[in-house]
Amino acid sequence: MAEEVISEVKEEKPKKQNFFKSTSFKCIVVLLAIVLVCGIILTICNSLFYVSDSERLERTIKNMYGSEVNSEYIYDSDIEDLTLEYTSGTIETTSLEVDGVDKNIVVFKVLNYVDSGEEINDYLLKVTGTGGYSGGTVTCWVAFTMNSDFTEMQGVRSVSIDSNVSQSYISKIKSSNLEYFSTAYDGANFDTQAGTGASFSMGAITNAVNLAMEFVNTTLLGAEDIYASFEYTDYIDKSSTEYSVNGDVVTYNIKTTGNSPAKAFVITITVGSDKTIESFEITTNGSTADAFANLMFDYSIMVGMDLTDLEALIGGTSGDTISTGATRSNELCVQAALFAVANYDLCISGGAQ
Amino acid sequence: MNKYAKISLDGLIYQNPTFMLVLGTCPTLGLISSASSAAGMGLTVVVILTLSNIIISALRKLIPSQVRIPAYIVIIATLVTLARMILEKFVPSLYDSLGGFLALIVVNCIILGRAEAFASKHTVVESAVDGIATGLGFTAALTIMGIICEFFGSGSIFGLEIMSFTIDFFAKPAGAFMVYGICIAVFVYIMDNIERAKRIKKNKPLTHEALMSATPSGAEVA
Repeated sequence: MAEEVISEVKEEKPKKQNFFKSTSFKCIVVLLAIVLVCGIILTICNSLFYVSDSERLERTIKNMYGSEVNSEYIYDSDIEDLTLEYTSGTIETTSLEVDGVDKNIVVFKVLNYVDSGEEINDYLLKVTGTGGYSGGTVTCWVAFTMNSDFTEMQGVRSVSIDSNVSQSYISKIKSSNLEYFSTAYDGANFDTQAGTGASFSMGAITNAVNLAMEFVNTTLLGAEDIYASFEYTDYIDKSSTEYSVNGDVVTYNIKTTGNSPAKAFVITITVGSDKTIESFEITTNGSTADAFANLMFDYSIMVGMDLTDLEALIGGTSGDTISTGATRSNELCVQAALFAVANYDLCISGGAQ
Repeated sequence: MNKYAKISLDGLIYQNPTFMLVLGTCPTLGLISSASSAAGMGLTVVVILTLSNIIISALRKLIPSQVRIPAYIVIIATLVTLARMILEKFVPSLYDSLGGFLALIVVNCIILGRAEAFASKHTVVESAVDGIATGLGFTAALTIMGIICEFFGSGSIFGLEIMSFTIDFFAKPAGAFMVYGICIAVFVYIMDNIERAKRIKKNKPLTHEALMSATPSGAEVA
Protein backbone atom coordinates (compact mmCIF):
# COMPACT_ATOMS: atom_id res chain seq x y z
CA MET A 1 0.00 0.00 0.00
CA ALA A 2 2.74 2.39 1.03
CA GLU A 3 4.65 1.55 -2.11
CA GLU A 4 1.61 2.46 -4.24
CA VAL A 5 1.32 5.88 -2.61
CA ILE A 6 5.01 6.53 -3.13
CA SER A 7 4.74 5.57 -6.77
CA GLU A 8 1.73 7.95 -7.24
CA VAL A 9 3.68 10.84 -5.72
CA LYS A 10 6.56 10.05 -8.01
CA GLU A 11 4.19 10.14 -11.00
CA GLU A 12 2.70 13.54 -9.99
CA LYS A 13 6.04 15.29 -9.57
CA PRO A 14 6.95 15.29 -13.27
CA LYS A 15 3.47 16.73 -14.07
CA LYS A 16 4.16 19.76 -11.85
CA GLN A 17 7.56 20.21 -13.42
CA ASN A 18 5.98 19.98 -16.87
CA PHE A 19 3.57 22.83 -16.12
CA PHE A 20 6.47 25.23 -15.57
CA LYS A 21 7.85 24.21 -18.91
CA SER A 22 4.52 24.30 -20.70
CA THR A 23 3.31 26.87 -23.23
CA SER A 24 0.52 27.94 -20.88
CA PHE A 25 2.99 28.97 -18.24
CA LYS A 26 5.10 30.79 -20.81
CA CYS A 27 2.01 32.63 -22.08
CA ILE A 28 1.07 33.75 -18.57
CA VAL A 29 4.58 34.92 -17.76
CA VAL A 30 5.01 36.80 -21.05
CA LEU A 31 1.62 38.53 -20.78
CA LEU A 32 2.18 39.45 -17.14
CA ALA A 33 5.64 40.76 -17.94
CA ILE A 34 4.34 42.91 -20.79
CA VAL A 35 1.49 44.28 -18.65
CA LEU A 36 3.88 44.97 -15.78
CA VAL A 37 6.42 46.82 -17.94
CA CYS A 38 3.67 48.80 -19.68
CA GLY A 39 2.11 49.68 -16.33
CA ILE A 40 5.41 50.92 -14.93
CA ILE A 41 6.10 53.01 -18.05
CA LEU A 42 2.62 54.54 -17.95
CA THR A 43 2.89 55.30 -14.24
CA ILE A 44 6.18 57.11 -14.72
CA CYS A 45 4.93 58.99 -17.79
CA ASN A 46 1.70 59.95 -16.07
CA SER A 47 3.62 61.70 -13.35
CA LEU A 48 5.84 63.38 -15.95
CA PHE A 49 3.12 64.52 -18.35
CA TYR A 50 0.14 65.02 -16.05
CA VAL A 51 -1.72 68.23 -16.87
CA SER A 52 -2.84 69.73 -13.59
CA ASP A 53 -5.97 71.84 -13.14
CA SER A 54 -3.83 74.90 -12.52
CA GLU A 55 -2.00 74.32 -15.81
CA ARG A 56 -5.34 73.99 -17.61
CA LEU A 57 -6.47 77.24 -16.04
CA GLU A 58 -3.27 78.99 -17.11
CA ARG A 59 -3.77 77.72 -20.66
CA THR A 60 -7.36 78.91 -20.69
CA ILE A 61 -6.46 82.35 -19.41
CA LYS A 62 -3.68 82.55 -21.98
CA ASN A 63 -6.09 81.57 -24.78
CA MET A 64 -8.85 83.89 -23.68
CA TYR A 65 -6.91 86.95 -22.58
CA GLY A 66 -3.21 86.63 -23.38
CA SER A 67 -0.45 85.69 -21.03
CA GLU A 68 -0.30 88.82 -18.89
CA VAL A 69 -3.68 88.60 -17.25
CA ASN A 70 -3.82 88.16 -13.51
CA SER A 71 -6.64 86.23 -11.99
CA GLU A 72 -7.70 86.16 -8.40
CA TYR A 73 -10.16 84.01 -6.61
CA ILE A 74 -13.44 85.21 -5.32
CA TYR A 75 -13.50 83.25 -2.15
CA ASP A 76 -16.99 83.53 -0.84
CA SER A 77 -18.45 81.03 1.57
CA ASP A 78 -21.89 81.59 0.02
CA ILE A 79 -20.59 80.30 -3.31
CA GLU A 80 -18.71 77.44 -1.74
CA ASP A 81 -21.73 76.15 0.13
CA LEU A 82 -24.11 76.14 -2.80
CA THR A 83 -25.41 72.96 -4.35
CA LEU A 84 -25.03 73.75 -7.99
CA GLU A 85 -26.68 70.96 -9.87
CA TYR A 86 -29.17 71.59 -12.65
CA THR A 87 -30.67 69.48 -15.42
CA SER A 88 -28.90 71.60 -18.00
CA GLY A 89 -25.56 71.13 -16.24
CA THR A 90 -23.52 71.78 -13.14
CA ILE A 91 -21.30 74.56 -11.88
CA GLU A 92 -18.20 72.63 -10.94
CA THR A 93 -17.13 72.74 -7.35
CA THR A 94 -14.02 70.61 -7.66
CA SER A 95 -10.91 71.76 -5.97
CA LEU A 96 -8.46 73.78 -8.02
CA GLU A 97 -4.98 74.78 -7.03
CA VAL A 98 -3.45 77.92 -8.46
CA ASP A 99 -0.34 79.62 -7.13
CA GLY A 100 -0.21 77.10 -4.33
CA VAL A 101 -3.66 78.03 -3.05
CA ASP A 102 -6.23 75.23 -2.94
CA LYS A 103 -9.81 76.46 -2.85
CA ASN A 104 -13.07 74.81 -3.59
CA ILE A 105 -14.42 77.28 -6.12
CA VAL A 106 -14.21 77.86 -9.80
CA VAL A 107 -15.36 81.44 -10.14
CA PHE A 108 -12.59 83.86 -10.88
CA LYS A 109 -12.44 87.58 -11.04
CA VAL A 110 -10.13 88.50 -13.88
CA LEU A 111 -8.43 91.87 -13.72
CA ASN A 112 -5.92 93.31 -16.11
CA TYR A 113 -4.87 96.38 -17.99
CA VAL A 114 -3.93 95.31 -21.49
CA ASP A 115 -1.63 97.22 -23.86
CA SER A 116 -4.54 98.92 -25.60
CA GLY A 117 -5.51 100.53 -22.32
CA GLU A 118 -8.72 98.54 -22.05
CA GLU A 119 -9.59 97.58 -18.53
CA ILE A 120 -10.72 94.00 -18.15
CA ASN A 121 -13.18 93.17 -15.40
CA ASP A 122 -14.49 89.67 -15.92
CA TYR A 123 -16.03 86.79 -14.14
CA LEU A 124 -14.55 83.57 -15.45
CA LEU A 125 -16.55 80.42 -14.73
CA LYS A 126 -15.90 76.79 -15.33
CA VAL A 127 -19.21 75.15 -16.13
CA THR A 128 -20.25 71.69 -17.22
CA GLY A 129 -23.18 71.53 -19.61
CA THR A 130 -25.26 68.38 -19.96
CA GLY A 131 -27.33 67.22 -22.92
CA GLY A 132 -24.42 66.21 -25.12
CA TYR A 133 -24.30 63.20 -27.41
CA SER A 134 -25.08 59.91 -25.72
CA GLY A 135 -25.79 61.63 -22.41
CA GLY A 136 -22.30 63.13 -22.33
CA THR A 137 -21.18 66.52 -21.10
CA VAL A 138 -18.98 69.42 -22.19
CA THR A 139 -17.04 71.51 -19.69
CA CYS A 140 -16.41 75.09 -20.75
CA TRP A 141 -14.79 78.23 -19.49
CA VAL A 142 -17.10 81.19 -19.89
CA ALA A 143 -15.84 84.76 -19.45
CA PHE A 144 -18.40 87.48 -18.70
CA THR A 145 -17.51 91.13 -19.11
CA MET A 146 -18.64 93.12 -16.09
CA ASN A 147 -18.74 96.79 -15.25
CA SER A 148 -15.90 98.25 -13.19
CA ASP A 149 -17.46 97.50 -9.79
CA PHE A 150 -18.72 94.07 -10.76
CA THR A 151 -22.40 94.89 -10.27
CA GLU A 152 -23.66 94.49 -13.82
CA MET A 153 -23.10 91.89 -16.52
CA GLN A 154 -22.37 93.46 -19.90
CA GLY A 155 -22.04 90.36 -22.01
CA VAL A 156 -20.08 87.24 -22.80
CA ARG A 157 -16.48 87.92 -23.75
CA SER A 158 -15.59 84.42 -24.89
CA VAL A 159 -16.19 80.73 -24.42
CA SER A 160 -13.50 78.07 -24.41
CA ILE A 161 -13.95 74.31 -24.29
CA ASP A 162 -12.06 72.67 -21.45
CA SER A 163 -12.94 69.00 -21.69
CA ASN A 164 -15.75 66.66 -22.63
CA VAL A 165 -17.20 63.26 -21.95
CA SER A 166 -18.15 61.02 -24.89
CA GLN A 167 -18.25 63.81 -27.50
CA SER A 168 -16.46 62.27 -30.49
CA TYR A 169 -17.32 65.14 -32.82
CA ILE A 170 -16.37 67.97 -30.45
CA SER A 171 -13.50 68.86 -32.81
CA LYS A 172 -16.09 69.94 -35.38
CA ILE A 173 -16.98 72.88 -33.18
CA LYS A 174 -14.77 75.67 -34.43
CA SER A 175 -13.86 78.93 -32.77
CA SER A 176 -16.31 80.63 -35.14
CA ASN A 177 -19.12 78.57 -33.57
CA LEU A 178 -18.06 79.69 -30.11
CA GLU A 179 -17.88 83.34 -31.23
CA TYR A 180 -21.67 83.15 -31.51
CA PHE A 181 -21.81 83.58 -27.73
CA SER A 182 -19.60 86.69 -27.66
CA THR A 183 -22.35 89.28 -27.60
CA ALA A 184 -23.70 92.01 -25.37
CA TYR A 185 -26.08 90.79 -22.70
CA ASP A 186 -29.73 91.44 -23.59
CA GLY A 187 -31.36 89.41 -20.83
CA ALA A 188 -32.19 86.43 -23.04
CA ASN A 189 -30.67 82.97 -23.04
CA PHE A 190 -28.79 81.63 -26.03
CA ASP A 191 -30.54 79.23 -28.38
CA THR A 192 -28.74 76.16 -29.63
CA GLN A 193 -27.04 76.34 -33.04
CA ALA A 194 -27.72 73.89 -35.84
CA GLY A 195 -25.35 72.91 -38.61
CA THR A 196 -22.10 72.64 -36.66
CA GLY A 197 -21.72 68.94 -37.41
CA ALA A 198 -21.81 68.29 -33.65
CA SER A 199 -25.32 69.44 -32.70
CA PHE A 200 -25.51 67.54 -29.43
CA SER A 201 -22.14 68.80 -28.22
CA MET A 202 -23.13 72.32 -29.24
CA GLY A 203 -26.34 71.89 -27.23
CA ALA A 204 -24.28 70.96 -24.15
CA ILE A 205 -22.09 74.05 -24.65
CA THR A 206 -25.18 76.25 -24.98
CA ASN A 207 -26.58 74.75 -21.79
CA ALA A 208 -23.29 75.47 -20.04
CA VAL A 209 -23.23 79.11 -21.16
CA ASN A 210 -26.88 79.68 -20.21
CA LEU A 211 -26.31 78.07 -16.84
CA ALA A 212 -23.24 80.22 -16.21
CA MET A 213 -25.22 83.31 -17.18
CA GLU A 214 -27.99 82.43 -14.76
CA PHE A 215 -25.43 81.76 -12.04
CA VAL A 216 -23.79 85.16 -12.50
CA ASN A 217 -27.15 86.92 -12.52
CA THR A 218 -28.73 85.23 -9.56
CA THR A 219 -25.87 84.09 -7.34
CA LEU A 220 -23.16 86.66 -7.98
CA LEU A 221 -25.28 89.72 -8.79
CA GLY A 222 -28.23 88.81 -6.57
CA ALA A 223 -30.98 89.15 -9.19
CA GLU A 224 -34.32 87.76 -8.08
CA ASP A 225 -35.40 84.50 -9.66
CA ILE A 226 -39.18 84.85 -9.86
CA TYR A 227 -39.50 81.24 -10.91
CA ALA A 228 -37.37 79.90 -8.06
CA SER A 229 -40.28 78.03 -6.46
CA PHE A 230 -41.75 76.82 -9.78
CA GLU A 231 -41.61 73.20 -10.85
CA TYR A 232 -40.55 71.76 -14.21
CA THR A 233 -38.25 74.69 -15.05
CA ASP A 234 -35.43 72.59 -16.48
CA TYR A 235 -36.47 73.15 -20.09
CA ILE A 236 -37.88 76.65 -19.59
CA ASP A 237 -36.02 79.79 -20.61
CA LYS A 238 -36.96 81.75 -17.51
CA SER A 239 -35.57 84.98 -18.92
CA SER A 240 -38.16 85.02 -21.73
CA THR A 241 -41.18 83.32 -20.18
CA GLU A 242 -44.23 85.25 -19.00
CA TYR A 243 -47.70 84.52 -17.74
CA SER A 244 -50.87 86.44 -17.03
CA VAL A 245 -53.83 85.63 -14.79
CA ASN A 246 -57.38 86.39 -15.88
CA GLY A 247 -59.88 85.28 -13.25
CA ASP A 248 -59.16 81.61 -12.72
CA VAL A 249 -57.48 81.17 -16.11
CA VAL A 250 -53.71 81.40 -16.50
CA THR A 251 -52.20 82.14 -19.90
CA TYR A 252 -48.52 81.38 -20.35
CA ASN A 253 -46.22 82.62 -23.08
CA ILE A 254 -43.43 80.10 -22.64
CA LYS A 255 -40.05 80.07 -24.34
CA THR A 256 -38.33 76.74 -23.90
CA THR A 257 -34.62 76.13 -23.89
CA GLY A 258 -33.10 74.37 -26.85
CA ASN A 259 -33.01 70.59 -26.70
CA SER A 260 -30.33 69.97 -29.26
CA PRO A 261 -30.77 69.47 -32.16
CA ALA A 262 -34.21 71.03 -31.59
CA LYS A 263 -34.05 74.77 -31.09
CA ALA A 264 -36.15 76.73 -28.60
CA PHE A 265 -39.94 76.71 -28.98
CA VAL A 266 -42.27 79.58 -28.11
CA ILE A 267 -45.63 78.23 -26.98
CA THR A 268 -48.81 79.87 -25.71
CA ILE A 269 -50.66 77.68 -23.22
CA THR A 270 -53.88 78.38 -21.36
CA VAL A 271 -54.70 76.47 -18.17
CA GLY A 272 -58.22 76.48 -16.76
CA SER A 273 -59.56 76.22 -13.22
CA ASP A 274 -59.66 72.41 -13.38
CA LYS A 275 -55.88 72.50 -13.90
CA THR A 276 -56.10 71.06 -17.37
CA ILE A 277 -54.83 72.53 -20.61
CA GLU A 278 -57.49 74.57 -22.42
CA SER A 279 -55.38 75.57 -25.40
CA PHE A 280 -51.92 74.82 -26.70
CA GLU A 281 -50.46 76.82 -29.57
CA ILE A 282 -46.93 76.80 -30.92
CA THR A 283 -45.96 80.28 -32.12
CA THR A 284 -42.32 79.48 -32.90
CA ASN A 285 -41.45 75.94 -33.91
CA GLY A 286 -37.90 75.04 -32.94
CA SER A 287 -37.65 71.91 -35.05
CA THR A 288 -34.50 72.29 -37.08
CA ALA A 289 -36.11 71.43 -40.40
CA ASP A 290 -39.54 71.05 -41.94
CA ALA A 291 -39.01 67.31 -42.10
CA PHE A 292 -38.71 67.14 -38.31
CA ALA A 293 -41.59 69.55 -37.72
CA ASN A 294 -43.75 67.22 -39.80
CA LEU A 295 -42.65 64.28 -37.69
CA MET A 296 -43.83 65.87 -34.45
CA PHE A 297 -46.66 64.23 -32.53
CA ASP A 298 -50.15 65.71 -32.58
CA TYR A 299 -49.66 68.12 -29.68
CA SER A 300 -53.38 69.00 -29.66
CA ILE A 301 -53.89 65.73 -27.74
CA MET A 302 -52.56 67.58 -24.68
CA VAL A 303 -55.65 69.79 -24.60
CA GLY A 304 -57.76 68.55 -21.68
CA MET A 305 -54.82 66.76 -20.04
CA ASP A 306 -53.93 67.28 -16.39
CA LEU A 307 -50.58 66.88 -14.64
CA THR A 308 -50.88 63.10 -14.28
CA ASP A 309 -51.67 62.63 -17.98
CA LEU A 310 -48.73 64.83 -18.99
CA GLU A 311 -46.32 63.07 -16.64
CA ALA A 312 -47.41 59.78 -18.21
CA LEU A 313 -46.54 61.21 -21.63
CA ILE A 314 -43.02 62.22 -20.68
CA GLY A 315 -42.47 59.16 -18.51
CA GLY A 316 -43.32 56.86 -21.37
CA THR A 317 -46.17 55.09 -19.54
CA SER A 318 -48.58 56.15 -22.28
CA GLY A 319 -46.68 54.19 -24.86
CA ASP A 320 -44.30 55.83 -27.32
CA THR A 321 -46.49 58.86 -28.00
CA ILE A 322 -43.60 61.30 -28.16
CA SER A 323 -41.08 58.97 -29.83
CA THR A 324 -42.05 59.96 -33.34
CA GLY A 325 -38.74 60.83 -34.98
CA ALA A 326 -38.85 64.37 -33.59
CA THR A 327 -38.68 63.24 -29.98
CA ARG A 328 -36.62 66.16 -28.73
CA SER A 329 -39.09 68.69 -30.12
CA ASN A 330 -42.00 66.73 -28.64
CA GLU A 331 -40.20 66.60 -25.31
CA LEU A 332 -39.98 70.40 -25.24
CA CYS A 333 -43.72 70.72 -25.92
CA VAL A 334 -44.63 68.32 -23.12
CA GLN A 335 -42.18 69.99 -20.72
CA ALA A 336 -43.78 73.37 -21.47
CA ALA A 337 -47.22 71.89 -20.80
CA LEU A 338 -46.00 70.35 -17.55
CA PHE A 339 -44.58 73.71 -16.46
CA ALA A 340 -47.89 75.40 -17.20
CA VAL A 341 -50.09 72.89 -15.38
CA ALA A 342 -47.82 72.18 -12.40
CA ASN A 343 -47.48 75.86 -11.48
CA TYR A 344 -51.10 76.90 -11.93
CA ASP A 345 -51.68 77.37 -8.18
CA LEU A 346 -48.53 79.48 -7.78
CA CYS A 347 -49.62 81.77 -10.60
CA ILE A 348 -53.15 82.15 -9.22
CA SER A 349 -51.85 82.95 -5.75
CA GLY A 350 -49.49 85.49 -7.29
CA GLY A 351 -46.56 83.91 -5.55
CA ALA A 352 -44.21 84.53 -8.39
CA GLN A 353 -45.11 88.00 -9.45
CA MET B 1 14.62 46.44 -56.27
CA ASN B 2 16.11 47.07 -52.85
CA LYS B 3 13.93 45.36 -50.21
CA TYR B 4 13.58 48.56 -48.16
CA ALA B 5 12.48 50.48 -51.24
CA LYS B 6 9.94 47.76 -51.95
CA ILE B 7 8.61 47.89 -48.37
CA SER B 8 8.39 51.68 -48.59
CA LEU B 9 6.57 51.67 -51.93
CA ASP B 10 4.17 49.00 -50.68
CA GLY B 11 3.27 51.04 -47.61
CA LEU B 12 3.01 54.32 -49.46
CA ILE B 13 1.33 53.26 -52.70
CA TYR B 14 0.75 49.62 -53.65
CA GLN B 15 -0.64 48.60 -50.23
CA ASN B 16 -1.78 52.06 -49.19
CA PRO B 17 -3.85 51.40 -46.04
CA THR B 18 -6.52 53.96 -46.85
CA PHE B 19 -7.00 53.75 -50.60
CA MET B 20 -6.03 50.15 -51.38
CA LEU B 21 -6.75 48.21 -48.17
CA VAL B 22 -9.56 50.52 -46.93
CA LEU B 23 -8.36 50.27 -43.32
CA GLY B 24 -8.66 52.91 -40.59
CA THR B 25 -11.97 54.13 -42.00
CA CYS B 26 -13.35 55.44 -38.70
CA PRO B 27 -10.78 58.25 -38.12
CA THR B 28 -10.70 58.86 -41.87
CA LEU B 29 -14.39 59.72 -42.04
CA GLY B 30 -14.37 61.50 -38.70
CA LEU B 31 -11.41 63.78 -39.21
CA ILE B 32 -11.02 64.68 -42.87
CA SER B 33 -13.26 67.72 -42.63
CA SER B 34 -10.13 69.58 -41.53
CA ALA B 35 -6.74 69.19 -43.22
CA SER B 36 -4.77 69.99 -40.07
CA SER B 37 -6.71 67.46 -37.97
CA ALA B 38 -6.24 64.85 -40.71
CA ALA B 39 -2.50 65.53 -40.94
CA GLY B 40 -2.20 65.52 -37.13
CA MET B 41 -3.95 62.18 -36.88
CA GLY B 42 -1.76 60.79 -39.67
CA LEU B 43 1.47 61.87 -38.00
CA THR B 44 0.33 60.47 -34.65
CA VAL B 45 -0.37 57.16 -36.37
CA VAL B 46 3.11 57.24 -37.99
CA VAL B 47 4.76 57.48 -34.59
CA ILE B 48 2.57 54.85 -32.91
CA LEU B 49 2.74 52.47 -35.87
CA THR B 50 6.51 52.72 -36.15
CA LEU B 51 7.07 52.20 -32.42
CA SER B 52 4.59 49.34 -32.19
CA ASN B 53 6.17 47.64 -35.21
CA ILE B 54 9.64 48.01 -33.68
CA ILE B 55 8.61 46.67 -30.27
CA ILE B 56 6.54 43.81 -31.64
CA SER B 57 9.27 42.82 -34.07
CA ALA B 58 11.85 42.88 -31.28
CA LEU B 59 9.64 40.71 -29.07
CA ARG B 60 8.35 38.42 -31.81
CA LYS B 61 10.40 35.43 -30.68
CA LEU B 62 9.46 35.91 -27.04
CA ILE B 63 5.70 36.23 -27.44
CA PRO B 64 3.97 32.83 -27.82
CA SER B 65 1.68 32.76 -30.84
CA GLN B 66 -1.30 31.80 -28.66
CA VAL B 67 -1.26 35.16 -26.85
CA ARG B 68 0.14 37.36 -29.57
CA ILE B 69 -3.06 39.38 -30.13
CA PRO B 70 -3.60 40.36 -26.47
CA ALA B 71 0.10 41.13 -26.19
CA TYR B 72 -0.05 43.37 -29.28
CA ILE B 73 -3.13 45.14 -27.96
CA VAL B 74 -1.46 45.88 -24.62
CA ILE B 75 1.61 47.26 -26.36
CA ILE B 76 -0.42 49.38 -28.78
CA ALA B 77 -2.72 50.64 -26.01
CA THR B 78 0.31 51.68 -23.97
CA LEU B 79 1.76 53.59 -26.92
CA VAL B 80 -1.56 55.30 -27.63
CA THR B 81 -1.94 56.31 -23.99
CA LEU B 82 1.59 57.70 -24.03
CA ALA B 83 0.82 59.62 -27.22
CA ARG B 84 -2.33 61.03 -25.60
CA MET B 85 -0.38 62.17 -22.55
CA ILE B 86 2.33 63.81 -24.62
CA LEU B 87 -0.11 65.54 -26.98
CA GLU B 88 -2.26 66.80 -24.11
CA LYS B 89 0.81 68.18 -22.39
CA PHE B 90 2.69 69.70 -25.30
CA VAL B 91 0.23 70.06 -28.23
CA PRO B 92 -3.15 70.68 -26.57
CA SER B 93 -4.68 72.17 -29.71
CA LEU B 94 -4.02 68.97 -31.68
CA TYR B 95 -5.18 66.87 -28.73
CA ASP B 96 -8.46 68.78 -28.67
CA SER B 97 -8.95 68.60 -32.43
CA LEU B 98 -8.46 64.82 -32.53
CA GLY B 99 -11.01 64.29 -29.76
CA GLY B 100 -12.12 60.71 -29.18
CA PHE B 101 -10.44 59.46 -32.33
CA LEU B 102 -7.06 59.62 -30.61
CA ALA B 103 -8.06 56.92 -28.12
CA LEU B 104 -9.59 54.90 -30.94
CA ILE B 105 -6.12 54.41 -32.50
CA VAL B 106 -5.84 51.45 -30.10
CA VAL B 107 -8.28 49.51 -32.24
CA ASN B 108 -7.08 50.93 -35.56
CA CYS B 109 -6.95 48.07 -38.05
CA ILE B 110 -3.83 49.46 -39.71
CA ILE B 111 -1.70 49.19 -36.57
CA LEU B 112 -2.93 45.78 -35.47
CA GLY B 113 -2.89 44.61 -39.08
CA ARG B 114 0.75 45.59 -39.65
CA ALA B 115 1.73 44.08 -36.30
CA GLU B 116 0.14 40.76 -37.22
CA ALA B 117 0.97 40.68 -40.92
CA PHE B 118 4.43 42.25 -40.98
CA ALA B 119 6.15 43.09 -37.69
CA SER B 120 5.67 39.62 -36.23
CA LYS B 121 7.50 38.06 -39.21
CA HIS B 122 10.23 40.56 -40.08
CA THR B 123 13.32 42.14 -38.58
CA VAL B 124 13.25 45.30 -36.48
CA VAL B 125 14.67 47.52 -39.23
CA GLU B 126 12.29 46.19 -41.86
CA SER B 127 9.37 46.63 -39.46
CA ALA B 128 10.42 50.18 -38.69
CA VAL B 129 10.59 51.02 -42.40
CA ASP B 130 7.19 49.41 -42.91
CA GLY B 131 5.72 51.39 -40.01
CA ILE B 132 7.03 54.69 -41.34
CA ALA B 133 5.97 53.97 -44.93
CA THR B 134 2.49 52.69 -44.05
CA GLY B 135 1.98 55.57 -41.63
CA LEU B 136 3.06 58.11 -44.21
CA GLY B 137 0.76 56.48 -46.76
CA PHE B 138 -2.11 56.88 -44.28
CA THR B 139 -1.06 60.48 -43.53
CA ALA B 140 -0.84 61.39 -47.20
CA ALA B 141 -4.26 59.91 -47.93
CA LEU B 142 -5.89 61.65 -44.97
CA THR B 143 -4.23 64.98 -45.74
CA ILE B 144 -5.25 64.91 -49.40
CA MET B 145 -8.86 64.17 -48.50
CA GLY B 146 -8.70 66.69 -45.65
CA ILE B 147 -7.57 69.40 -48.06
CA ILE B 148 -10.42 68.58 -50.46
CA CYS B 149 -13.10 68.48 -47.72
CA GLU B 150 -11.83 71.60 -45.97
CA PHE B 151 -11.56 73.51 -49.25
CA PHE B 152 -15.13 72.78 -50.29
CA GLY B 153 -16.64 72.55 -46.81
CA SER B 154 -15.02 75.54 -45.11
CA GLY B 155 -13.40 77.46 -47.98
CA SER B 156 -9.98 77.14 -46.38
CA ILE B 157 -6.88 74.97 -46.45
CA PHE B 158 -5.06 74.28 -43.17
CA GLY B 159 -7.15 77.05 -41.63
CA LEU B 160 -6.13 79.67 -44.20
CA GLU B 161 -9.22 81.12 -45.79
CA ILE B 162 -9.22 80.77 -49.57
CA MET B 163 -12.78 81.59 -50.55
CA SER B 164 -16.04 82.59 -48.93
CA PHE B 165 -18.17 80.13 -50.93
CA THR B 166 -18.63 76.87 -49.05
CA ILE B 167 -20.66 73.68 -49.40
CA ASP B 168 -21.62 72.51 -45.92
CA PHE B 169 -22.11 68.95 -47.16
CA PHE B 170 -18.35 68.48 -47.44
CA ALA B 171 -17.79 69.54 -43.82
CA LYS B 172 -19.91 66.63 -42.63
CA PRO B 173 -19.25 62.88 -42.45
CA ALA B 174 -21.59 62.27 -45.41
CA GLY B 175 -19.46 64.58 -47.57
CA ALA B 176 -16.31 62.98 -46.22
CA PHE B 177 -17.71 59.58 -47.20
CA MET B 178 -18.33 60.75 -50.75
CA VAL B 179 -14.87 62.30 -51.07
CA TYR B 180 -13.38 59.09 -49.67
CA GLY B 181 -15.21 57.01 -52.27
CA ILE B 182 -14.19 59.27 -55.15
CA CYS B 183 -10.56 59.30 -53.98
CA ILE B 184 -10.51 55.49 -53.80
CA ALA B 185 -11.97 55.27 -57.30
CA VAL B 186 -9.40 57.72 -58.73
CA PHE B 187 -6.50 56.04 -56.93
CA VAL B 188 -7.52 52.55 -58.06
CA TYR B 189 -8.04 53.81 -61.63
CA ILE B 190 -4.54 55.32 -61.71
CA MET B 191 -3.00 52.20 -60.17
CA ASP B 192 -4.83 49.97 -62.66
CA ASN B 193 -3.51 52.02 -65.56
CA ILE B 194 0.02 51.87 -64.22
CA GLU B 195 -0.25 48.11 -63.72
CA ARG B 196 -1.69 47.65 -67.22
CA ALA B 197 1.10 49.72 -68.75
CA LYS B 198 3.65 47.65 -66.86
CA ARG B 199 2.06 44.40 -67.99
CA ILE B 200 1.97 45.53 -71.62
CA LYS B 201 5.58 46.59 -71.43
CA LYS B 202 6.57 43.26 -69.90
CA ASN B 203 4.63 41.11 -72.38
CA LYS B 204 5.04 43.00 -75.65
CA PRO B 205 2.59 41.66 -78.30
CA LEU B 206 4.10 39.68 -81.22
CA THR B 207 4.17 42.16 -84.10
CA HIS B 208 5.47 41.40 -87.62
CA GLU B 209 8.42 43.77 -87.21
CA ALA B 210 9.40 42.26 -83.91
CA LEU B 211 9.18 38.80 -85.36
CA MET B 212 11.25 39.71 -88.43
CA SER B 213 13.92 41.29 -86.33
CA ALA B 214 14.02 38.23 -84.11
CA THR B 215 14.33 35.63 -86.92
CA PRO B 216 17.70 34.80 -88.63
CA SER B 217 18.19 36.69 -91.91
CA GLY B 218 16.83 34.89 -94.95
CA ALA B 219 14.71 32.46 -93.00
CA GLU B 220 11.11 32.18 -94.10
CA VAL B 221 8.35 32.57 -91.65
CA ALA B 222 5.45 30.19 -91.99
